[in-house]
Amino acid sequence: MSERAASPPRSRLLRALLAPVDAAGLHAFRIAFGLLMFAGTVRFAARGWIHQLYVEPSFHFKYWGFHWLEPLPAAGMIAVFVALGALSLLVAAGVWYRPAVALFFVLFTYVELLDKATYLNHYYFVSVVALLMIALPLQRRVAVAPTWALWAVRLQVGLVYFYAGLAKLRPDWLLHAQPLKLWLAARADFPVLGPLLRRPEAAYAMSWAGAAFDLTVPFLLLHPRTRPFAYAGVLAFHGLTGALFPAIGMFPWIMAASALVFFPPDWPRRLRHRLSPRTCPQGPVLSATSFPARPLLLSALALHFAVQLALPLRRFAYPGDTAWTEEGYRFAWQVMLVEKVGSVGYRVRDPDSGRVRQVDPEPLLTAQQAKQMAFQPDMILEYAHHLAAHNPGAEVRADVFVTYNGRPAARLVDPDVDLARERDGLAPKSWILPAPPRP
Amino acid sequence: MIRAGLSRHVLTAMLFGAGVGTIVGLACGGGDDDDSRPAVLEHVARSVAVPAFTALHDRAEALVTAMDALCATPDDLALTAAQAAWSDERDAWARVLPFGFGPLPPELNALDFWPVRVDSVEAAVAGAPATADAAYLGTLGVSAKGMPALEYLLWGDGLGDPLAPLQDPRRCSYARVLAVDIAARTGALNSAWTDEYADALATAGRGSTVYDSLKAGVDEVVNKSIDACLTMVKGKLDNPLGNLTGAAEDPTLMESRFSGHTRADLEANLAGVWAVYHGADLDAPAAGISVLVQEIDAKLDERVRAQYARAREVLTAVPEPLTATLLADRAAVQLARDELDTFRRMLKLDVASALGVTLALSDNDGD
Repeated sequence: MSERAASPPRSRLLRALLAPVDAAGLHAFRIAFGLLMFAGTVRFAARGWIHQLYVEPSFHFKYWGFHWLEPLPAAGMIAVFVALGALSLLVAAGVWYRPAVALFFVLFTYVELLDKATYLNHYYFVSVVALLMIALPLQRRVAVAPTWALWAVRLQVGLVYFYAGLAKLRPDWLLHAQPLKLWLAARADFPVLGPLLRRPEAAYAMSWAGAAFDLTVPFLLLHPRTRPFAYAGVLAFHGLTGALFPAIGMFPWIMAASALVFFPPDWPRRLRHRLSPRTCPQGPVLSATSFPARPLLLSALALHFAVQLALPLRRFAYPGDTAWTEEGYRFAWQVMLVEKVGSVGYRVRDPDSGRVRQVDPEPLLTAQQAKQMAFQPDMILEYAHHLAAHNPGAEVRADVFVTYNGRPAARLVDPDVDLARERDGLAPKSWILPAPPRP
Repeated sequence: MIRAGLSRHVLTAMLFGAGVGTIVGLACGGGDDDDSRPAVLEHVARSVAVPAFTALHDRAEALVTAMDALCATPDDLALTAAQAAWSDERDAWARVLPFGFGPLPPELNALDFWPVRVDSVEAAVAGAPATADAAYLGTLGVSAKGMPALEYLLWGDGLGDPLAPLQDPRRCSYARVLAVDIAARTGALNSAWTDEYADALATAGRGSTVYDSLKAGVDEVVNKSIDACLTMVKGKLDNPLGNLTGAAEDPTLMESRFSGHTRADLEANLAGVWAVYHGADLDAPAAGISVLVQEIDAKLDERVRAQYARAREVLTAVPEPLTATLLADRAAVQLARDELDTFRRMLKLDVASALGVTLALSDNDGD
């Protein structure tokens, strides 16, 4: 019996994970990530979003457990974004890599945790990837990396696609082609494809194709034979969604760049050789010596991925349609699944005088906050608490109507419940009314 | 091997070509003829907006004529005629509420500042030259001009005979110059819509200088109809009802309270929004936004129509003047407010969502 055959499976897996691979592909990923983050930061600042989202609002919707986190004054927030831009470039250059990516993670995540109204799946993806990158040995001069580093990035990217596909396996998406039917009909003037997009068949075809794409693309990218087609699919998919929905901003670029990690680890070298045959196609000599096992690091990675696997599944622990209740909806790769518009009005009752006054939160919030809170129960609750804090002893009730994937608008919140007395938390919220049936 | 590989590539290329051909064929099988949005925007711009602004200006000219007659012969007959001319103009003004975009916003306060600040108007009259003119008016703030200020001068505060003060030539001259100013401003609005803005809206996404896509044009029209309803509910009814403060009802916060025209204003506002939704001719088949809604969700269109009828019925049932009804029968006013709000919500949530007007993706990145 050979030594390999005699080894227990766990140590075989460990050996494989510690084996060296050409780091060129991971460096390309690092460079792309850094440059995209730099472009994203510049774009964010150029559009005035630092002031609009973090300086001007007098109220911020805080994440549960992060109520203590406050935005800095204007100069401080600008400094944070300047630092994010500089750190992005350091990451791209591979200079002071570990401290740069660690600080990038801290600052980026700090900004994202300031206000729930700005939550986006791809911002969360950036935070998660930055956290993961702290563990990766991607300094500029590193020629070889342990195999686990490559597979950690592949797994992280693959989880996004797979869970996004899993989330699409729901009646609205598959049986009613919603919300694509609504969104595509509004793009009838899209060049060439516009008239086609108005047809319901197009929405069904894109819904099913989108679900199939998300569920299978990580696996197709892994297989050498299907990889070129799968990556062409990645480019076509993200190119089309980026063109149809310009508001998704950096998301297509980030995912298209990230999917390159599924190519062989030496793909940049091969590409360079193909473009310029005089360059050497050979990568570094991969010695038979494995990287040392670092139990603490590998345990941290195992914990990271356990969390990444579990977080999207937590929605199954909540009752009802979580796309309606939004419970367990964030940090779960629920991407482009709903078209919702809401309308919120509060009734604040002074129990002593019995006087009731209506509060329309819209003029008191930014457009982004008002839009998001109008259909997200935890934000509706948080604003009710804000009103209660300014009116001690007051009862706060809400009239909330939401239209959801083409259903007639319906009440989201029990109008008789005094929200001032309801506590926020991770437990299911009994005051959220069931999703309206599809007529 | 090479032959087999080549065959595979040829087959793949053929399949790809067939796929692309099918898509392009299907895409080109449709065309602009299938898209009702150009016709709807054309109708809203040229058959609803332009006639509404033309009527606004024509009636403003008639108001100037009536004011000339009143100042020349300040008697009851002339005052009644001037009040009728003001009411006609006010009706036309209320109907352009859903066109609160393009040329209108800069003129909004100068034409329609309310609640009237009586002190400002009286101070303007007291400081006016014997024959007030545009130059004098130009020195004053918006609280002393526009339709509401003229309404106050024509009806008074309800405590005395409105004609007697107007027999003072200085006061009547000031009232007249307000009418002239209204005519000038509405004339500019009418010209802007007739000469330019109707084209901009009607050609959205097809050469428009303002709207780079059809969607942008539809978004504008639908959003401003929603805004108009919001103004009716929040601005015109919630305030006097005391809903926003929990305070008692306050008729002095009502629009057109001196003329007792409050409900008429709201009815005309609603009619203006309905003209955008249904189309200019109420007896003809729908030609406005309703066309687009029917294509996507005919039942939603029926619900919108039913709610419009309900809101109109309840509003019309509230006795005018609303200032008196507010105190005598608050529930009736509140019910009208609630039905109008339901109509507003239907436009904001169901219609906007169905038409893709309010996308889930905001102006910030979204996913």
